Amino acid sequence: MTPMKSGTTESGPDPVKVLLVDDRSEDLLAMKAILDQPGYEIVTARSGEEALVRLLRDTFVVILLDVAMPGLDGFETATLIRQRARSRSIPIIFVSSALHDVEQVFQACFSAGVVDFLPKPIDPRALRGKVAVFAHLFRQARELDRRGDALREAERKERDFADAMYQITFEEAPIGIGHVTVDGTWLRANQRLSELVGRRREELPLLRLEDLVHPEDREDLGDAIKSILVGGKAIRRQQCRFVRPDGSVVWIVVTISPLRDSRGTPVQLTIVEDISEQKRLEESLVASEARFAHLQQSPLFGVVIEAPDGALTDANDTFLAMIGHSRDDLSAGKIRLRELTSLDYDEVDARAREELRAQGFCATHEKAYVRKDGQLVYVLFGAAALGPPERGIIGFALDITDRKHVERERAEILCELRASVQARDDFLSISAHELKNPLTPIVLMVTTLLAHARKTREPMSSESLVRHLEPVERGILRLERLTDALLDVSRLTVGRLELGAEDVDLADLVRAVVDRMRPEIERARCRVSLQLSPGVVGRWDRARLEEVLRNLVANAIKYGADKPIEIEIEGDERVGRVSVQDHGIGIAAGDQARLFTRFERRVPVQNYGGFGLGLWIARQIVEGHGGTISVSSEPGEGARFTVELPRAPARRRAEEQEGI
Amino acid sequence: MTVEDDSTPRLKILVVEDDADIQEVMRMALDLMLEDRLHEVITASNGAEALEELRKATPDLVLLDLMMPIMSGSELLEVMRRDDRFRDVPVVIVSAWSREAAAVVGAQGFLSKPVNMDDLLHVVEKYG
Repeated sequence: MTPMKSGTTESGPDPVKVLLVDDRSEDLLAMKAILDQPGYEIVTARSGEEALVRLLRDTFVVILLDVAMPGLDGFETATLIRQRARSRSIPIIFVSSALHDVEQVFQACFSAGVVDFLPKPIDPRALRGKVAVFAHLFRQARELDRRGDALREAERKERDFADAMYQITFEEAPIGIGHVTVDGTWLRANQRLSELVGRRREELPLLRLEDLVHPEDREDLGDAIKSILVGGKAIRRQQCRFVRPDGSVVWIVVTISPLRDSRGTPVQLTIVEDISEQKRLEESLVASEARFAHLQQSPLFGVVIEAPDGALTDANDTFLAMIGHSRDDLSAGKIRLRELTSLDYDEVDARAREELRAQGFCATHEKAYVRKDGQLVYVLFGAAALGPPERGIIGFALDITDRKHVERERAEILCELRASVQARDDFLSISAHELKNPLTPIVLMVTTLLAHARKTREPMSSESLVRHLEPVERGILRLERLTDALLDVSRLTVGRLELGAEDVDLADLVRAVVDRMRPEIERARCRVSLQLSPGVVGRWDRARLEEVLRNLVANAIKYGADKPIEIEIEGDERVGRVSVQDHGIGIAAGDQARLFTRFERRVPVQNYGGFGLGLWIARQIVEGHGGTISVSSEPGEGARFTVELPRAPARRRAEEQEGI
Repeated sequence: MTVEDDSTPRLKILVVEDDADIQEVMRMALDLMLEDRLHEVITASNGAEALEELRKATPDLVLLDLMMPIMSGSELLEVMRRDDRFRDVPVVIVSAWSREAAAVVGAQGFLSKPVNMDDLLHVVEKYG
């Protein structure tokens, strides 16, 4: 016989055991023969006692029990079988020749707990049939059991597996996990949770969730927990703080889900994540953003952020004000630093960007941006990359326009000063030369007279002395005049020339000047004709105007020797006009413009001596009176100088006229 | 003061100077210096006059100012040197400019203004 095992064997279904109990061996054999087929394992017992022994060892699908047996009869045996738990449920079929009455049979069956009856002699078909039924039932039951077992086994395995997985997950998770009862006490906690709260696991059941939480956060958490209890909804990611026994605080985020454990008890699955790092990052980010915003708001300098494509993505108000654009312009993406940069600084800009690419920052440099209104704003600019190129650039700009203007002004002033100093040096050297001319007669005559007087014992007559000294006197006068002119020039340069004001009749003035200059006029063989309208009077500086006229006449004599000179006066109620006409060499148009500048001479230095200052001084004086001096001339035709003066002039400080 | 006798050899000095006062003083100073000697001082106020005087009579010495109208001193000198008649006439420049600044070629001497008598006398004695 193959041993019992689940499933079918090759010879058919698993054999089931049938117990035949009869004291008569021929009956046993007969029954055995009837039941001899694959699938049955027949076990025989010749007495009740033997049957009981067999029943200790095996289990049978059915017991065929002879009623009439010596010793324990069928009834007693059945009763004993029934009493035993092991064999209680095995169906027993009485086999008897003694019972024929149906009533008797049922009584006997019921009383003994027997299920069926077979009369002797046994009908083989009945025997086979009844055993088959019970075998079938047994098999079915066994199959069910087997399936049940298998199922339970599978379930158990699965549960074990799930438990194991959960256990591992629970224990090993890098986040804190715990179970909390409905009223908040800890049922269990994993290692990580224990670490987070700073308490050993054994301590936790004594504590409630609330006890671990920072007092300030308890209310919020408590409210959240209540909502679970009421609505059965989970709390997701509530931030709060745990306070550890040592007083340290750890920021956590807690998720609480209502569950039931395997016993059906409601628990709250509490998942706790340490967000200290996150909090730290948040705080430092907030701080950094605050610092940055502070910087951004700074009225001191402009801050810009430029995207890799060159568009400005952000700029503070200061910068926008600098470049004269609105925030809308910025948002519209219309502002690009490269386009803003003034052309003059393109090269500087390109170099800076190269530096930026190469080393992540560029040295501060000056540049200029063209504002929306077209004006230039000068800035000191520096920039640094915000990280890899895709993050863009942050730039800082300090407005130095004022400084630039000051610089430029200073440079201009320096230039002017230098020019001034140079001009003065030139002037000094020219002056020194010019003084030599009037000095010459003085030096020569005085040294000659002295030498002569030393040499000869003869006294010189007064008349002779006078004749000899008159040129000296004239020289002295000239010298005086020249030094006065020098002083005037210096005063005019510094702007300290103060013009006097008295009633001056132009005609009188002209006549006086011509009288005083008569010797020179005659020596130059010029004939002076005057056309002087009377009554042209104004409030002017007499001495200075005299100087102007003297200068004009002297020029006429010098450049128009041997030729006539005409002096005219005219005027109306507003202005007085005097003109001096010579018939000398004249002045080319190109030279006319430069005539009244400080050191100009009309002709090459070699051909003419004399101050270039005369006309310039004349101009300062005339313009100081609010008037004008002009010349008209053709080369070879002489020159006509005209002075026009307002009769009641507005005073202008000489320095205002010093236009270069 | 000029000596009238034509037969006596006279020291002729031509003074070319546009400034009237200087011209006058030079004549008076020369007259005083040379009062014991027969001499004649001729004056010209510009280059054209000077040439005219030169043609009339060759002087023993020309005292030449540089800064003159129409024809400057150096221009006159150039003309003189190109003319056979006047090539060898001694010329002394009298100028407010320094010798280097004047940079004149062809003159025998240089007197810088203001001229003092000793220098002038020295020149006259040298060439007279």
